[in-house]
This record gives sequence, structure tokens and C-alpha cells, in this order.
Amino acid sequence: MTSALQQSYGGVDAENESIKRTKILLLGTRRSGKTSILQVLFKDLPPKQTFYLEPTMRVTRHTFDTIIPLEIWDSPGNVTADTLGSPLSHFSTVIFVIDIRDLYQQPVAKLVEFVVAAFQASQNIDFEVFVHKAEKLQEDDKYENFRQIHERVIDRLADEWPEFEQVPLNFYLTSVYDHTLQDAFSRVVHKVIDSLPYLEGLLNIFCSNTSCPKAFLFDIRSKLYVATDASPVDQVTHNLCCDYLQMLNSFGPLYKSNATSNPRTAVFSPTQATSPDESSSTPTISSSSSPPSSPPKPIVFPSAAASLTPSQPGTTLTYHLITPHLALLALLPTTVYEMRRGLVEWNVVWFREGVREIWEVEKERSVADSVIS
Amino acid sequence: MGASGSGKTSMRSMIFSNNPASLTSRLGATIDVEQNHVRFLDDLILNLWDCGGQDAFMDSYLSAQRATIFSHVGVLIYVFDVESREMTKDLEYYHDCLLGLSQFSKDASVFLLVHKMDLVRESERTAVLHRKTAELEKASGDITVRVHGTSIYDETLYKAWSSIVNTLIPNVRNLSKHLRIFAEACNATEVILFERTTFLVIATSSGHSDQTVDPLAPHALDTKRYERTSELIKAFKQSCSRLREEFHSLEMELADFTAVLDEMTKNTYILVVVHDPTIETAAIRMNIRIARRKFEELQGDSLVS
Amino acid sequence: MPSETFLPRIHSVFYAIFDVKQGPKIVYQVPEGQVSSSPHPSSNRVLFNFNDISKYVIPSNPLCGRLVICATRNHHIIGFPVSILGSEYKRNYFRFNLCFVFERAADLSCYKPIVRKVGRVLAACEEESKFLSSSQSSLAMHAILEQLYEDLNSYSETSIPIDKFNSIELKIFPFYPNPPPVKDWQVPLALINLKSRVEDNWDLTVRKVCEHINGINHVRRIAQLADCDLQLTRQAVAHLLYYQVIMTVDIFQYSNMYTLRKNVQWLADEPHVKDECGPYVTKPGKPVPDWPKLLFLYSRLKPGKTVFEWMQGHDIHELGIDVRRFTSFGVIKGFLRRVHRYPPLVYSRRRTSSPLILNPLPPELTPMLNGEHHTDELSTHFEVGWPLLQQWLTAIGGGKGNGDFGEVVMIYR
Repeated sequence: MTSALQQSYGGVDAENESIKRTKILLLGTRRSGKTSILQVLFKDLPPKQTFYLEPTMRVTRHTFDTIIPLEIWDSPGNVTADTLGSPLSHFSTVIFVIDIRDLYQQPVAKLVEFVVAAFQASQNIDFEVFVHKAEKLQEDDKYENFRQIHERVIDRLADEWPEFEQVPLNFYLTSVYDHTLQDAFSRVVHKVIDSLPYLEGLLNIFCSNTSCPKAFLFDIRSKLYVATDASPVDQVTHNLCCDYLQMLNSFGPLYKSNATSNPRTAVFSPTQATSPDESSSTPTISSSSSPPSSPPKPIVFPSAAASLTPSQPGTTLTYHLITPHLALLALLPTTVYEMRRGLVEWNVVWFREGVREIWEVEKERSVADSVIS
Repeated sequence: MGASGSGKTSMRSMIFSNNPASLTSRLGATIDVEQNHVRFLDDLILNLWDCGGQDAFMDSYLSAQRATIFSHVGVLIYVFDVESREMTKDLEYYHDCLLGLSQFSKDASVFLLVHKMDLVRESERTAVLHRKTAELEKASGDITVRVHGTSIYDETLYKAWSSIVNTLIPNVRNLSKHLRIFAEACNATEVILFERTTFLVIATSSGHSDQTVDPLAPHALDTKRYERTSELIKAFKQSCSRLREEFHSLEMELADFTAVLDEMTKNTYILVVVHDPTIETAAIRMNIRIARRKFEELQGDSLVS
Repeated sequence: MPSETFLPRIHSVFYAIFDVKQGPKIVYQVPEGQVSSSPHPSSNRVLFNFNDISKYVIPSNPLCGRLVICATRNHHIIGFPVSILGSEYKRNYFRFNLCFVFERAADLSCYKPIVRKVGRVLAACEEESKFLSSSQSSLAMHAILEQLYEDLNSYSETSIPIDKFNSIELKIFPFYPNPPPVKDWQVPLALINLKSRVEDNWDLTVRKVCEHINGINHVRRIAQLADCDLQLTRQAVAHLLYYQVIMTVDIFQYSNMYTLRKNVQWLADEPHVKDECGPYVTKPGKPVPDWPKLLFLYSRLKPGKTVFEWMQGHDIHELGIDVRRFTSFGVIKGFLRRVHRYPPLVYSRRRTSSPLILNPLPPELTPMLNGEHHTDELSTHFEVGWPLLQQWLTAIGGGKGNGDFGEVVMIYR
């Protein structure tokens, strides 16, 4: 029965059953927007259409492959720790979604009940609260309600459970209508990626080598960022990168070739030979430094660059595909991009190698884990 | 024109003022006629009359202001709310407007927009549009009208407006012909010319933008690609402006194709789509740079003639 | 009921809003049926058609929050359109206007502040409690219109309570234009008996200034006599001028020159000039000369001839005429005007001041000899009489005296 409800968002279905997935549980009151969150993030559902979603009646599992494989459980509003079908300790993260207009006792009580249950089950669970549907309120009320919900939960927790001090409870203000949801979910995912420090290290090196003020490693489909460099994430830049990614995603299918006569795949797939024109992807370097361990796939590394503000000093927003699911988005000074494009691309190639290695290791590990378990 | 609250001003603010769809709910009702001059191409200035749709205004357009409103009309765009509950009344006014138009501007083209299509469920849209089209064509009598289903939340808006604007640009064919030559020179599958501020399609290398896709063509180009491109670029321009940046140019080497979007003349942008992977973006950029002068001239010519 | 000449009569009061479906429309009007909304008016009572003026009653944004007056063939419509923004309104704003209709010929100046105030009070009510946009409370508008129409037409004032906090309090004041700026050398002259009107709660400066208004003292002198600040004195005089209880004339000196205005041609036949002149200008106890004689004397006043010379030439003293009253009567009635002396210095060669002069020459005097200041101004500025000023001018110009100022040219105008 559960397999019937399982929905896959990743590309590699065949391996699904044999790997160990990091589990994320999505909880919340009725109509708080849990399914909307999943649909918007992983199924490209336009935010306006979330209005038509049917309520979730039973626990549903969604799998999602990014740098690590994830399994996200969507639950109906009336679920309890007992009816979940799996002990809470199996989850790495619990996300509780609460409607920003729900200032009342019931949702807060339910939240607290789950927090207590989760921490009694395991001390290692990350508990996150999404104060959702922020778009429903005006700017001032929004922050006021957010603050009130935060306060009430903390007060209530202190009453219920004196040791709550140790509970790391994070609150996020989210909405499917802007990129706050992506930002919040990204931050949640960061906590379950063990290799995050290495990815961040790679990004930091890339940034310092290319004098880039900000770079993200994005998951293409969901527009979550898997990692970013050490500089703080500013909301506007993050929004721009999300929008950019969304535009590129939508652009792709518009001018597709017929599958049979795709010239680019034709050139690349058989031999992976060096093509003199494709300096940006330069497979030669990658094959010489470390031969790809995965079975040969058509290796194309799409890239794009949008130049902003024609006047000096301009910014160029670059996009380089790193793995089939991940892309590097970087804000580069236009001068750097135009004058030292070769160097930038050379750095991208090395960055790509690093990420791919981490990716391979993660993949092996999840398979190995599942064998052990 | 169109009934009150049918979305005329929202549409205008999106196409011509670069406002995002989410902000249209903050617009106020239009009082009487709001006139806008939009410099579309160098010498082509569109004089846009946004007419408030309240009954008192409509009555006045049809009586006291009749000659002013209906004289020298190039295009009548009549907007119908797809969910209108007063369709009979809407059609009555529409009919009177057509009479006014035939009296003062016989040669005007008539576009009917069935607006707010986003309120209809996706699965039912085609059927609804079909029904509305039939109804409107019947109401228009022997006047040829073009009906578009539109919504400010998707690309249909750009499709409709591109085709409206297309009827106003003299010599689109000539521009298309030159775009075709340019496309051949770049070995491009398709070349599209956009207006700079509105990002509406002016001309394409594959002829009129309304043409249907040849099933035998080697590339499965999406039929909605023009309006989708307008929509995407426009949306991205907006997010750039939120960062107080200005969108300038874009180049992409995606899995299937290479594309360059860059300024062509001072009020147009060009998109060159190439499917041959051996062609570098830099080469396309150079071609664009070389062609720029010719197109500046062409634009001047096409408007003079 | 006040007469038509004093305050214009309100012919109609109407309240219009922007209806999201129908557009501009009249919600209530008093009296009923005066302003027609249908394109073809049926009755003759209709003043005009609303559709013709609706774009000025419910105008586009730039006109909102401003007084808008528009005219039809026979009427003036004055209103204060207000647009209140708010996302709670269906189309993001609420727009209304309360208009008054008058005869086209009527002078609307006294109603301008009234219309503005009504608009602002109603806007405040709407902002506080949605008084206008909620269907329940807006019914009260009809009663408000009725009261405005009746009270303003009958009593020129009204007080209409709207809710707990707001009310419309109106009183129509006749409208006077602002007076021209008061100059130091002007002499205020009372047109009514000021002293009998003085009240304790008047402004202190005005009270002090009033005591010294006698048609002889000029403004600067009044300030000194009343021991008031000069600027406050000017304002006090301007205030009295605004209410048209005083007027200003020039300083009387025997060295003054006067000339007749053109309008004497018809003023000379006016009874209020003809009959009042004799008794006013003759010293008490002396026989009153007849009007032709007086008119003859007026006509002998010419530029270049001082009053003193004129008196000598015509035996004025013998006739028992008070010369100050004689000239000021002409000025007040408006057929006589002062001829001022403007002394510009033509060549400004530096001269050592003549030892003949006792008073030292003030250094600021020379720069003022540019043709823009007349001698009255110079006299009041330096607080000297004409004889001394004459000596100074002679000294600066290097003239020989006795009408010869050398390089200072005397212009009479």
C-alpha cells in the first residue's frame, strides 16, 4: 500500500529501493499548506494552482534526489505520533507547518505535543517550524503574527516541558508566492547534508579565485540551494538566482530539438571527444584529472550567462551545470567574466570535479548504509 | 474598452509599465479615458486609450464623446471578463461600440480578449474559450474579429498583444525576410525580434507569428515559444529591477540549443536560437553586432514606406 | 434672507460618488430633480445635465484634493473632490464630492473655504468610520445636504453633528481681497469712527495704533507715537485696511504737488463730491465757497507747482480753506493725486560735503538716489523734513540751491 503512494521526484527510479534515504516528516494542522509546499517545490506547481489541491487523507511518501537522497513524508492534518506508521526516531527532520493566521490554542498545542514526542523519541531530530502563508497578511501584521506564534510556542513549551531549553527549535516565515519557502527549506536540508562543509569549502575557493561576491549550488528542479559560500545570503540576491534558474528551466523546453536528431547529444554521447568549440564544458580536463566512475552518460554541461546593468561595473549572473541535478550560480563582476572567461570556466571545471567526487561518495554511502541496515 | 473591472488597466500596466501581475490588484478604477503614448519603435508611437468601463462612461463614449472616441482608431481591443455575470449587457455595449467604430473608423481591426482565463480550471479552458469565441463571433456580425483567451498570469497575454501590435507595424514581412537572411547567416534555427520595453514579438524569421508549426521541421519548437519567451524575459527583468539591476543580455548553451538574446537596435532585442553545437555564442554575438546597422536602417525604412 | 448682492444663493447641493459599476453618479441632491442624470431632461426645472460635468465632479487623480469649479451655460458648480485610498475598497479607492451650484454670475469667493471644509470633514469621517462608504451610515448624507442647503441659504451658518467626534461647523464670511503692502510714508485715514469701535479684546497693537490714526500721522510716526514695533504697526494698519475701515493717503506738506485725474470729468458732477466738498474743506466759521470755485482751485494744482506756491497764487488763506483737508478730500474721492518727486543722481562724482550744511549728510542717502525712491520715502526714512532734504540733495548734486540741484535731477510723477 505504501509503495502505491510513493511518488518519486528524482531521476533514478530503479535504484530507489536499495538506498537509504534521509527522512523528513512534514506535519501541520489541516489546510496549513503542507502538500502545497511539496507540490510547489518538487512538482513545479504554479503557486496560484495550490488553491485547487485536494486535502491529503493519509501519509504519503515522496522521494527526492539531490546531493543526498531524501524521503519526505506528507501527513494529513489529523495524524498523531501513533498513526504515523513509523517511529519518529526514524526521521532526521520534522517540519511543522502552521498557518500564519492560526494564533489559537489548537495548532500551537498540536505543535508542542509533537515537539515533546519527537524529543522523547530521539535527541537528534531537527525540529523546524514554517510559519506559512505569509502572503495572506500585510507587512506589519506578518511580523507581528510571526512573533506572537513564536512566543506562544516557546511559552507553552516551557510550561509543558522544563528541559525545553535544549530544544533547538527554528522558526521560518514562508510563502509559496515568493522564494522564502525555497530559502527556508534549503536551510532545513543543509542540516542533513553531512558533506556540507566540503561543498561550502569548494564554493569558498571558487569565490575567492574568481572574485565572485556570491555563489550558490542549486538543485535545479526544486530551486533549493544545497550549499553556498561563506558570505551571508541576502534575500534579494537569492530571489534573483531563483528567478534566473526558473527562467532557464522554462526556456529549455521551448526550443527543443526533436529527440531523434539532437545534434548536441549526437556529438557528445559516443566518444566524449574534445570539441574545439565547447571550451566551457571542456571534458578533456575532467577526463584527464579523474576518469568518470559512473557509466558514460551524455555529458553536456549547459551554461548560461546573463549580463545585468550595461554600465560599469556590471554584474554577470552565470549558470553552470555541475551534476545532472545541480548547478552552480554565481554573481560575477562583468569585467571578470568577459576578460577572464577561460579562467572562470577552468575554475568551474575543478569545482565540478570536487562536487562530483562528493556526490559519488554520498551515493556509495547511502547504498552501503542500506545494505548494512 | 470593456466592462468595468474586466482587467483593461491591469493588462496595460503589465505590458507597457513593466508591473508584475501581483501588483495589479492595487490599481484603481480608471476615470473616463486615460491616454498613454507608448513609443513602440523609433517612429511608431502607439496612442493607447484606456477607457473606464463604468456605465456612465460607456454611455458617454457612445453619445457625447462618440466622435472623439471612435475617430482614427487603428485597433479596438475589447476586453470581456470570462466570468462576467452580465454578458448580455456587455454584449449590448460591445455591439454599440462596433456601430460607433463602423461609423468613424471603418478600417480598424477588432481584437476581442476573453480575459481572466486563469479563473477557469486548466482542463476546461479550451472548451470555455471555444464557447466564448463562438458567442462573440456571432455577436460581431459580419465584422472580422480575432478572439484571444488571455490571463495576466501566463503567456497568453503576450501572444494576444504581440498579434495586436503586429497589425500596426507596417511592413512586418520585410523585417521577417531580413530576419530570415540573418538566420541563415548565423546558421540559426530561428531568429526573433522583440520590442525592447514590452518584449512583444515584432517579427520572426519564420514569418508571421501566428503560423502553425510544420510537423516535418527538424526541431520540436514549442508552439507557444514566442509568448513564453516574452513572459519569461519580462519576469526576469522584473526580478532584476527588484535588485536595482537592469537586465542587459543573455546567452545560453543548454542541452538542446544555444541561444543569444541581445540588443539589436535601440528599441529592439533579438533572440537567436541555434541548434548546431559547433557554433559559439561569441560568433552569434559578432553577427548581431554586424547586423545592427542594417536593422537600424531597415526599421527606419519600414516605417517610412 | 440675505440679499443676492451680499451672498450668492445656493441653487442646489448634491453629493456624488464613483460607483464601481456605474461610474460617477449623484447619490443625493437637494432640492430633488435639479440636476438631471438622464441624457434627455424631461422637466424645465432641471438646471443642467450631470453627465456634462461629471468629469469635473469625479475627476481623475490630479484634481482630487483641490477645489474644482466648473461652469455650465447658466451655473457654476463648485466642489472639492476627495479620493481616499485603501485596499479595503473594491477598486482600491473611494472617491466622492459634495458640490454646490450657484448662478453663473455669482461671486463664489466666500464659499471657497466652506466647500473645502465640508470636503475635509467628510473625508475625515470616512477615514475614521467608513461613514460614507458603508451603506447604512451614508443614508444620513441626505439630511446633511438638506441642512446645508437650508441653513446656509437662510442663516449663512450651520452646525451639523455627524457622529460622536465630527461635525460640520460653517459660517460664511464676506470675502475681502488682501490689501497692498503698507509703506512707512503712508498716512492712514479713518473711514468710520474707529475710537468708538475699539473693544478690550482687540489686539493690543491695533488698539494703540488706532489712537494715533488722524489723517496726519504717517505709519512710521504712528509707530513712534504709539511706542510699537514698526513691523507690527504696519501689520495693524494692513489689518484695518483689510476690513476697509481706513484708507491711506500721503503725507501733507506745503511742498507737496498734486494734479487732477481724468475721472474728475465725471466725478465733478457727482452729488457726493459736489455737495460734500465745501463743508469738509472749509475751516469752521468761514463761509463755504461754491463748488465751481473749489473745482477751479483744484484745477490749478499742477505738477511742478507746490501747494505753498498755489496758496500764494490764489489767496487760499483768505478763503478760509483748510488746505490739508482740501487735498485729502480730492485724494479720498479719487480725482486728485499726489505728484511725487523722484530725485535720481545722474553723475555720481564724489563730493566733499558742503560746509554750509549743519546736519551731516547721511552716507546711505546717495545710493538711494536711483530713481526708485521718492522724496516722501526719503523723508520718512531719514526722519527729516523737505527743507533739510532739499539742502542735502543740493549738496550731493552740487547745485546752487533754490530749485537747482546740480546733478540730482528732479522727476515729477
